[in-house]
Amino acid sequence: MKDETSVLVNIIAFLILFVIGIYIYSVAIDTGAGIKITDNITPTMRVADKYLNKNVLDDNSTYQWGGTAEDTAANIVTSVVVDYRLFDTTLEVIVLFITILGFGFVIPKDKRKIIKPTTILNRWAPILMLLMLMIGGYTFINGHLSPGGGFPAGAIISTAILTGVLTGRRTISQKSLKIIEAITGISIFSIGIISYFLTGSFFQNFILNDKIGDLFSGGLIPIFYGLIAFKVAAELSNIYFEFYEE
Amino acid sequence: MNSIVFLVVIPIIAAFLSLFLGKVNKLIAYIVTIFNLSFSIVVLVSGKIPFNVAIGGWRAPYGINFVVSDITIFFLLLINVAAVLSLTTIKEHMEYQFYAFYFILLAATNGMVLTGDIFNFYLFTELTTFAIGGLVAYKRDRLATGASLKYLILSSTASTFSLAAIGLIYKTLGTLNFADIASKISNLNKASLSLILILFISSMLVELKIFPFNIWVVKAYDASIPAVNLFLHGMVSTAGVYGAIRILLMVFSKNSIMLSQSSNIANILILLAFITVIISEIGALTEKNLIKVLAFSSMAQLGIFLFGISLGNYEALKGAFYIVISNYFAKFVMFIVAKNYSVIAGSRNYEDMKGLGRKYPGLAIAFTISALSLMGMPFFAGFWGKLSIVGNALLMDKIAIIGVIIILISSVIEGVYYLRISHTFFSDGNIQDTKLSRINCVLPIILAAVILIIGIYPNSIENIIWTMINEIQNTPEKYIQVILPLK
Repeated sequence: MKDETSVLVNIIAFLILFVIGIYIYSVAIDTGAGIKITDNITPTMRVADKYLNKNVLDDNSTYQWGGTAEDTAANIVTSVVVDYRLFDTTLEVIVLFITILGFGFVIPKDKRKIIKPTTILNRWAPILMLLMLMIGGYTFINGHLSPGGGFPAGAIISTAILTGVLTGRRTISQKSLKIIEAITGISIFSIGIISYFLTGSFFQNFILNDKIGDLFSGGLIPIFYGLIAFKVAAELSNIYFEFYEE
Repeated sequence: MNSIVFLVVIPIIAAFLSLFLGKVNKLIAYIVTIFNLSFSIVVLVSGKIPFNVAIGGWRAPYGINFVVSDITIFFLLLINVAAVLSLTTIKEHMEYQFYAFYFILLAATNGMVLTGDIFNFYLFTELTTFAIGGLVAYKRDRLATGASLKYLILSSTASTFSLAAIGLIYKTLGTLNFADIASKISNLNKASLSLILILFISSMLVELKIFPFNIWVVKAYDASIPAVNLFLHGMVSTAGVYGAIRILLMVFSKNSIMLSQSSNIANILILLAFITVIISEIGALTEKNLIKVLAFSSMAQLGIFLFGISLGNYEALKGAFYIVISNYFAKFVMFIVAKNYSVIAGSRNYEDMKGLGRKYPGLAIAFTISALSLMGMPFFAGFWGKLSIVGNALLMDKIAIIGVIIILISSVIEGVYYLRISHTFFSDGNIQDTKLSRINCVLPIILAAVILIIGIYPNSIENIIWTMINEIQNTPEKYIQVILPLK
């Protein structure tokens, strides 16, 4: 009986793949008119073009080092992620939050054996942790200037805590991780609400007139990146504790 | 009306607060849900519909926007009413995780309906998925964990598909905004459009419970607690139906002539709808577990809905809307009745519920009314839906006539198993102790009365449905120009 159902499931899976395969093949051989997936398209007439020149609202605004624009982050990826499409980024943070909350529910907990760390790891751990914290801090403080930002910075900071977990040091309790998570999460959305009361629309930047390239530029971007970094770090650290302890 | 974003932001903040509040959570859940419901009613009566909200101050195709149109506000009300009704079934104390999941689910389903951006829609779908995954696993036993994992695996695979589709849209059209896509879609190559559509549809079929992506449904309903059943039915399915209507009929249809224009995609959907209806009716016929019967039946109803929207006919679309509304109310009644009766009988098998209909006739009568409505008996809400779909499909080509036959046969099968259940309720039986308070009977009876009112006097809702169909018919004027005003 069991084999029969699995054969049936396999046939259905094969059929689905076959149908999608036909559609992909028809794209490959198609010669009709219109924009194709295989075309090479330049950024003009696309949303990205306005992002690159930073003239979404104001046609005179240009991307110039040391000047002002409608969004003053030097890193264009950052300006898209944390300014033009900020709402998506905040929701990504919620996705991480809900996944890790559900993680404790769905994955059954069983007893795990804890192996004692070697002396080398034990001695080096504090130095490693310090380095990780420094790199993580740099990554989110400079997220609007150079490649980096809240998510990678949070991951790097959480590796500092991972090092502590591996050597058996309790650097931070799970309760305080939860508090950090909630405070950062609430403040991200509170800033959104504050900007609604200040400017009339949610998540609008209300710190203006910075210069592109300054350390303190980009308006709210460094603040959001800092909050996101701490939130991601707290959430990822929660997973390590979840794995490590019964 | 920039404040519409509060519908998403307030539940999310409540989700963070719920980590610490313990017993107060139940009160907060009521406050937030009633806030959402009353806010949507305020929007409805404010008379500003349709309007567009740019989040972050960035105008439409560049930033993310929320759109409120006639369809949006209708589904928004359905979802928030469902949330309030489902909350009333929670009697016992729940852990804080339950409420955190619930708040995220509320925010995500509201957001799915409000958003006007395809990537934002994808993110809200993800949030719904993970919240439901957690809620289904709430019992923490073997069955619940298995069902939750099954759902998570299936919908994660599906979201990979939809992410691929979104990537292809951004590569070809260079935009993510619904209205912008809808206005540029006619420039797209036909084969490329078909590939994008088939990828996107296969991801949406998971929430719509259509074969072959519905293996999670029955297990998830069976394994979860009654309130989660209602969340799944009232919030997630309704949001999925909204997604199908908005994306298939308004965004990805050339010149709003609906799916029939995009070649054989519509035929594939009709075929899948047939298989769904047949499989789920046969499954329901052989099942003894009442919750599983209801799960199978809701799959069948969504199959009929999909058939209705794939026909490419506005009258049939009207029928599809009726099916959605009648299924929405009927399943609410049935799940609440099933919950109450299974508590008394001590089992979910309906053969153990003999005689309960004599002891609590209100619940059993409400159940029978909803069953008759789902079957499509005249003068019940479901009748007008099946009538419009069958009547208009008869005038169309061969494949639609096969659909008519399948729908009629499925109505007979539905009659067999639902009336068998109703008969069991009213037949002789002995019940030992009774601890059901009469207040539990009030809600199902009110909802059953709504079904009767819609059935006897369909004009009460016909106007609303025609306003929505009018929006679909005139997508360029009613939707695209609201978001992208002509310069």
